[in-house]
Amino acid sequence: MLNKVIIFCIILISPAVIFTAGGKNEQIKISSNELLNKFAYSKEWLKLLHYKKNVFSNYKSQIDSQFFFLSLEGKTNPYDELLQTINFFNKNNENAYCRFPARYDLIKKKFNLDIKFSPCQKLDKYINTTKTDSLSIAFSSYYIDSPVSIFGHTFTKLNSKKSELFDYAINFFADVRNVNSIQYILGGLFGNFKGYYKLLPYHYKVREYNDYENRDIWLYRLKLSEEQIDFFLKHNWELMNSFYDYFFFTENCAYHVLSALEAAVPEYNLTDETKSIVLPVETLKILVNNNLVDRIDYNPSLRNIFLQSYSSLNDNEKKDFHEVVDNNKFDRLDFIPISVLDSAIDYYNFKYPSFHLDQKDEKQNQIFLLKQNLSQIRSNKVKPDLYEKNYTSLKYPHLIHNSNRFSIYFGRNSFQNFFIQPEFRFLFHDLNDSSQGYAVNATIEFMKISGQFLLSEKLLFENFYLNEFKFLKMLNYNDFSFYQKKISWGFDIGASRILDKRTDLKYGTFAPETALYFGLSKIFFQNQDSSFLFFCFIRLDSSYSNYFINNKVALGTGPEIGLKLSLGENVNLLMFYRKLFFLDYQSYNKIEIISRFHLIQNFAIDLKLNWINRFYEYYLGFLFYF
Amino acid sequence: MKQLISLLLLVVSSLVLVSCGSIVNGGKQEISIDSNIQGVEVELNGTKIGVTPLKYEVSRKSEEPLSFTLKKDGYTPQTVQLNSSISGWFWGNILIGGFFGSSTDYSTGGMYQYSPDNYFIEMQSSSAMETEKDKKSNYLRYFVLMNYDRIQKDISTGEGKYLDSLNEIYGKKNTADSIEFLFYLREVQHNSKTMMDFTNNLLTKI
Repeated sequence: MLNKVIIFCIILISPAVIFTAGGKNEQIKISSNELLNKFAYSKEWLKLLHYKKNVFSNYKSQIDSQFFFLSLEGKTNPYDELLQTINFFNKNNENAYCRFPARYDLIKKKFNLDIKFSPCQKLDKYINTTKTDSLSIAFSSYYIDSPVSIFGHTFTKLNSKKSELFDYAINFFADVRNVNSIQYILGGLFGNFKGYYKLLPYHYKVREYNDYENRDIWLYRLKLSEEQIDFFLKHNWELMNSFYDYFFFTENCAYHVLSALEAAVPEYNLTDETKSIVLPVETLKILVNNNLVDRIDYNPSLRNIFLQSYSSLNDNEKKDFHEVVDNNKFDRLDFIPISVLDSAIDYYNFKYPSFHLDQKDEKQNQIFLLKQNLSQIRSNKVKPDLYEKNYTSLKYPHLIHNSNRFSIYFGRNSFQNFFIQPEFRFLFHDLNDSSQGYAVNATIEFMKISGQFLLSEKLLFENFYLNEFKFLKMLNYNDFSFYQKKISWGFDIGASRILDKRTDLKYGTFAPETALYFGLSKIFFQNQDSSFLFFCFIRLDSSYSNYFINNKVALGTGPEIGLKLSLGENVNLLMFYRKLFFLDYQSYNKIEIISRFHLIQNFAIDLKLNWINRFYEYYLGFLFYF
Repeated sequence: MKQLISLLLLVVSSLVLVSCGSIVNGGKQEISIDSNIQGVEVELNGTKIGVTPLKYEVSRKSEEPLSFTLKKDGYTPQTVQLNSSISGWFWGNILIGGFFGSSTDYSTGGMYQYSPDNYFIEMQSSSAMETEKDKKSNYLRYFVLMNYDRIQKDISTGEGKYLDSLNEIYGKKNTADSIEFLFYLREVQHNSKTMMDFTNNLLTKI
């Protein structure tokens, strides 16, 4: 209360706020409250302090650290925070500029000030160390082993004229130390973790993503002026000691990479363009759509470096390659071609990075020595020829289809009913969606719901059934090959309309259903964007319904085998057969065939057939990604 | 049919366990700690557990950070903290808990986490201030340990960003210097048997 009275008094008595240079001659009078008020609610000030309007149209900063604010009410009062900032500078506190250099620069520019503060050595050191010449937003690709990285990750790279690996990166991360998995999920959903910006060497991120997690890194270089880059760095400096409440889906890494950038380019409303769930790849689209990107670079993962060199080998070279890696020894290393040596080195770097080799183990010691040997032999093969290899790829991540999807299907079933089936999917991608911008064989669907309007023969509305609700479905089709012997796995949590012998209702019953999948997948053919994927799972299934005939809980298991044929990025054919054996029911068979044609990036057509025991449906669908 | 289902469940359960075999393994994680000076005493939460180079098993389920202190006469004691973190194969971690290490990085004192379970602690003489050369050496050591494989490949092929970075650290700006330096690096590569060997040999010329 006292604070409010003080603020009110300040406003009353401040028709003229005097901005002095603390002992210097310069004195700037800001002649009216109106001017201050206008500035306090300008986009520059609001974005610098990360204010957003809440549902009651009141301003609230997304920064949750009180240290960031000079006014006790600063989090919710842009005007008072501005007054306190001016007072702070007026007092010529030695640390004033050091603490808020971006605020100072903005106020100075706005009111044409010319105040000399003593230089801030730490800030100068930070700026001189990074030697930032341009900024890139780095996108490290999808990593399905970790929930926060399922959708990728973004961070800011400070580009200098030095060797790229000595550049710095600013990472926004949640401090999730010393929590268990359940705390991790709940804390992330409800904002219990603190999110910080942190400066670290870029090569650290390369090692983490490219080498350790085998994720590609894409660098989207931004079109910014020197002044904007300088302002960005100073603003980031201000943020280093502050924190945000971190929310996995909303105020996450991708969002706060944008929010920090937005302070330097306030004429863009970047964060306002984000969706209710902020995906890193969507923020790349925002940057590209706003014409803020002038170049895209690609740093492949160790796996992709190996795959690229392996795919360039001819049949004889592949034979030599396998003779080396299958036995971890080779007597004629001196005589094999350079391309095979390079591929073998890439293979061992990907498959057995030194940091995974404990040389006290005999086999690992053998591999380590072979790696050394390969490197040394390769060193003797050619004269030094210094040039940099450029990897190219067309899978630019921002070209992925939009993550929300609305579909409308028109079909007919074996009871001769026509039906209309609307479907909405909140996130993200299924195996049949276009692979443009998404080079992963995986399904990740969150909050998908569909229903069926049954029509009579005269096309009149007859009934409505809920068809499917997916809370979360993930299927990871790991290609099982000599270089990666990983199983495929997945789970499916939600509810669906059960149409088999578990119920005797004509149109089935809508029942909660959970499934786990374990199996193997294999890509038999891959040529650019065309491929042939075969998969085989064992599915464990549990469902519950009061309308089940015998036991209300039905437990079952059985195989699911299928294939996906891709003809380019935009034409896919998926078919699978599933047979489930239940403890208390007859087995059920299901066949599903879907062919999908992506006509443009965000529109596709489906032709689909479902066959469950003797019941079948066939339909035509139109899919809109938005 | 019930027998078939039971058999399938058993097979699938086995698959799950096999796939996480290296993770489950008794709920323990072995970490190794080494230092630039050998024979440094290591204490864990105040209790002496050995001297470097040291391998030590920690429980993954510990919710408390692990605090290691390294001491040796004539050197400034170093205390580093490892925190459990959720990373790696998360969906398995839901069942068995997290790991130590991944959230720990170089910035905590003189510690370099050059691999998921391996830490290198830089002990500094208590009698002398860190010079610019020391700083450069420390940074190079960190860079080389972290990126050993990539550096080896670039030295072998004579090209790449990691080689460029070494050229920059050693101030090799023109092509002739770079080529001469590459021959030096190849010599070091041939004469080094371990990562640590290679790193130490490289540091002699900085």
